[in-house]
Amino acid sequence: MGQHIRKLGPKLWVATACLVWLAAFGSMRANAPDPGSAEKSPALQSPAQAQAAAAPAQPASDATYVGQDTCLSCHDEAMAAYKDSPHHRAADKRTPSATQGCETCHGPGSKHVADPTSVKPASFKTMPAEQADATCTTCHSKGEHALWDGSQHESRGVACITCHSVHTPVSETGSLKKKSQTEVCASCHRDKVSKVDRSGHMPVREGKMECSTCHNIHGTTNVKLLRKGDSIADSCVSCHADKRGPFLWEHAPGRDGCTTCHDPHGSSNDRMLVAKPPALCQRCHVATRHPSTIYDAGLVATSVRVFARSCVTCHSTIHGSNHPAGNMFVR
Amino acid sequence: MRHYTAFALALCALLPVAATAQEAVATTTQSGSIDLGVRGSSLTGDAARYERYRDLGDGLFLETFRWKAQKNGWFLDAGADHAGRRDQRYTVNVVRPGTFKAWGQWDQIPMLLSRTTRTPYSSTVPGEFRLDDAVQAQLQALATAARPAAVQALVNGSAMFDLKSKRHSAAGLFELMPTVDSAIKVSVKHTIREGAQPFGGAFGHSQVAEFAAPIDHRLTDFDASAELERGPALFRAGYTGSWFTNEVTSAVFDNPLRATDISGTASSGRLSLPVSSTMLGVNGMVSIKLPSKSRLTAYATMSTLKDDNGAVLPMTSNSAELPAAGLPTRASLDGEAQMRGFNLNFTSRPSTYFSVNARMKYYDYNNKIPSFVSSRKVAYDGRLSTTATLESEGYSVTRLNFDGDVRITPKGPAALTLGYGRYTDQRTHRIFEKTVDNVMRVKVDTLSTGVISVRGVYEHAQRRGEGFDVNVLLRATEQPGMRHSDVADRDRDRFTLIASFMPVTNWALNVSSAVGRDDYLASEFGLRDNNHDVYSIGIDGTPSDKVGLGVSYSYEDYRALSRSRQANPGAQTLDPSRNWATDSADKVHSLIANAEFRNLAEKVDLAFSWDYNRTRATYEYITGAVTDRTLPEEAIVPSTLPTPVALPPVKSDLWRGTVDAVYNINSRIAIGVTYWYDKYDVEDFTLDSQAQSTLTAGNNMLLYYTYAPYTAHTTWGRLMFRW
Repeated sequence: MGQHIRKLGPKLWVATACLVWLAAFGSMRANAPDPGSAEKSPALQSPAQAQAAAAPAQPASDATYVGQDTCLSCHDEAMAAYKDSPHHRAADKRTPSATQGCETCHGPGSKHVADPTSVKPASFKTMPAEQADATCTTCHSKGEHALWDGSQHESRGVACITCHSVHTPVSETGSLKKKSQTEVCASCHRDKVSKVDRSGHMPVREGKMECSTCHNIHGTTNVKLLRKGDSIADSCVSCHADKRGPFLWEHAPGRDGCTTCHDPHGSSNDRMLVAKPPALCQRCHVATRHPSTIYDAGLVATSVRVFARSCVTCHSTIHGSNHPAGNMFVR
Repeated sequence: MRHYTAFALALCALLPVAATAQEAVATTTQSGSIDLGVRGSSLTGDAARYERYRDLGDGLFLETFRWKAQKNGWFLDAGADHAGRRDQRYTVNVVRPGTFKAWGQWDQIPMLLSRTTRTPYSSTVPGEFRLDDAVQAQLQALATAARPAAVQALVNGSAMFDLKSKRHSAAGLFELMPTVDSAIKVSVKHTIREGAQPFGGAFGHSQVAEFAAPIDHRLTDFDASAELERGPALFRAGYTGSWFTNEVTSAVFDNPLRATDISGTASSGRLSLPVSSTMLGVNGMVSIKLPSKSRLTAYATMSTLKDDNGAVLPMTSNSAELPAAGLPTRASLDGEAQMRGFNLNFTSRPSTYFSVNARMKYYDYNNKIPSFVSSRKVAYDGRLSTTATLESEGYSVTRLNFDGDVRITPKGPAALTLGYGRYTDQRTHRIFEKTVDNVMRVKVDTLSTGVISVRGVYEHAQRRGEGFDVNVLLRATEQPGMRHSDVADRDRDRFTLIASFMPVTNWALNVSSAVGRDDYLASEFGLRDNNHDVYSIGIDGTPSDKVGLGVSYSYEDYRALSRSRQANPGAQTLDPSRNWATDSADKVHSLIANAEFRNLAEKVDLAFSWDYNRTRATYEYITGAVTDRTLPEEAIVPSTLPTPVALPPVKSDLWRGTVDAVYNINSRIAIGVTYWYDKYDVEDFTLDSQAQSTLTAGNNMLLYYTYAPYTAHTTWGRLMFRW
């Protein structure tokens, strides 16, 4: 039985997932109340929402809420892109639009209305990063953002609004301040982003991958903010599963970390190698005879150990082999 | 039938979506856009490299389609990119905010490597590369001196074919939020990868046959997690499954010079390709909010990797050696590895002036594959040897990392962070049993001033190995002074600086620098140092709300020195006069400029961009001592090696310019013209067409997979419709 299930493997899980998903979707659609209805299932309300539904709450300070329309009477430009954003979906009870509007994030505005010149509402452009983040993480603290506290970016004072814009997003998804993730990340990580223009590259500039394909910028359990697995190699083999083995004969530095030989961001060398073979391989192999030979220009035209795929032309199973004679990765 | 999983998945995702869409369309707000075009290209040179991961064929195409609709609290997004093309992508997203989310995607990624590859091999059975028996017999009968020319003629007379592969993936994500504090998430992705890649098979040290090894992979990834928030605590439990299937787990390739097997040379070779495997794992996380703006997070994971009844290949494909070689000492791979991980993170901000982060990470990769021991080996499917005993070494590693940071934010514009990390790795079958890396960090970050922002990090790290085992090197006939760079003693200094200056709100000047020095201080042979210097400067501005400008320049310099000793077995291995070094350098200049003009004459949008990337890589050979990188204890003697002939530099230059002009006829319709200019120049002594075309010596049968330059002009007219 176990072997049968194992043989079905992915097909069984995909089919199960489909059935679960159809059942969940169907039952959820049947049971979900109309969001406009006053009769909302108690299970779908948080305590805060239930309280808010009873009576509009006022802030603890002596400033009071004035309502979104008051804000827009002067700051209507703030609505231009915001109205199409997820924050403006009043149907979602968690959003600012469903609670106090502009004042959900910028604070109660009565004092600003009374004295617009001297009293300003909370501005995310000038407040400390921790304060800005505290506002965003009131809602965005789970899922993708669960590990934000103490993450590499957060601990350096990089705020949510460093990359994201609620009112003037430029990207199609993610409310980013620039058109694409690579443009945003290039602000600080210019050396990494510029590598995607090299001849050996992943399909990032072709739009098939983004920085977030491999990294979770908001915090992860892996090193280097890698999204999958618990090591660099785990992350790489999540897509390049043919390299994960197991193998009878292993190339140990590959298991230790793919970045010993490859540059995942891009390289001018074939297969995104950090250096051209044989020079790359000769960083670790100086055995007698051909591993320690100087492959200079005199040998380029005649030696298959230099041109084409160089060492890997013969040692082609370089990531691992299951052949009895595969200890040198030529079989 | 092979794709049924993908179709089933897509169908599951789309059926309810279609039902929702039908309902949504009936009554509600919707918007969308469609961008159609007709494209024509003029191309000279390497068409494969120009396209690579794209389909830029001429003719009609759908660049993008976007559609959004909402009704009664349901939100639907649908999109298509490059519909009908080999790089097409379809995405659909259904959201019931706060309750349910479903996302599905079908994505195709082509990979075109070459249009000029040639091979005389034919493959009617996947994984088998055959030559006509008569051809093999004819070449076998030739005199040794005549064979190279005959082999080259055989390849040159073969038809060209496209060397390519493709990745098609169907992915779905389903998220259910039964309450505002809980979420159940399920994601499934099925990827089919098919095609071929260059692969080599050797029949000895002097004869290689390249072939287009098949890629026929299926990868299904399943992730499920449940998340629950209770008060200050967040709980998460997850399950992951990954099933990889390789339909072709070995490759057999005919020997062009041998029609029949004899002891010492086979008529065909066989090598192994990756086996199918399954990886299953569970994970759990608890994150607790504590007083004083603190949080403690614990995460644990365990997973198992196993092969799916993978087999050890037969001893040899050489029928003349097989009787004596017999069977492998083990028939099945019995591949298994267990992974364990545990993280503990603590972060606290007890006051405005002080915060602390501490992280502990434990990772264990336990390779449980039984050792494969054999006293028989048929190298290159040639001749049986029983003089040495082979024993496989399943590599395992255990990592324990500690990281701590203290951040001080005095009254003033900057924060100072002092950090320390200790990374301990214990490994099997490496030259060091254990390495310990101690890292000290100092970070400076200016706080939000709106005008200037500076971030700098200085890091000093020392890695030292323990339990050095010289026998690991000697068994591999390596020099005892060799140290493998990924585990060798190493001192590292790194400095990065990012500064942004905004004198006025609409303009920003950005500069950055990254400098690194790795010194492998005890490595007599192998990588001796590895350095980088990266500098960039850029200006971005929006002089008005209709104009956006930007230009940036960066310079990158990567250098590495590695040392070796050219020697045959015997006395030469002890002779320092035979030492030599490779000084490799990679220098890159890149320039990016862009300009956008919106609403010119209220109807016209113009965008320009220019990208230039120039790479020069050199590999300089130095015989004798390298004056400032020689270890103090080394004997400095004059070199007895002949002076190496310098290798030519490797050049790789890419120019890309784009012009985009759009005329908005009205708020719904626009027409446009786009022009791309792409130029790629390459000189690569290993891979460009000059290098391989000059290969006439030897019995090697190559694919002629080469790098070649190209110049392309691509233009298309566009019609955009918005509603």
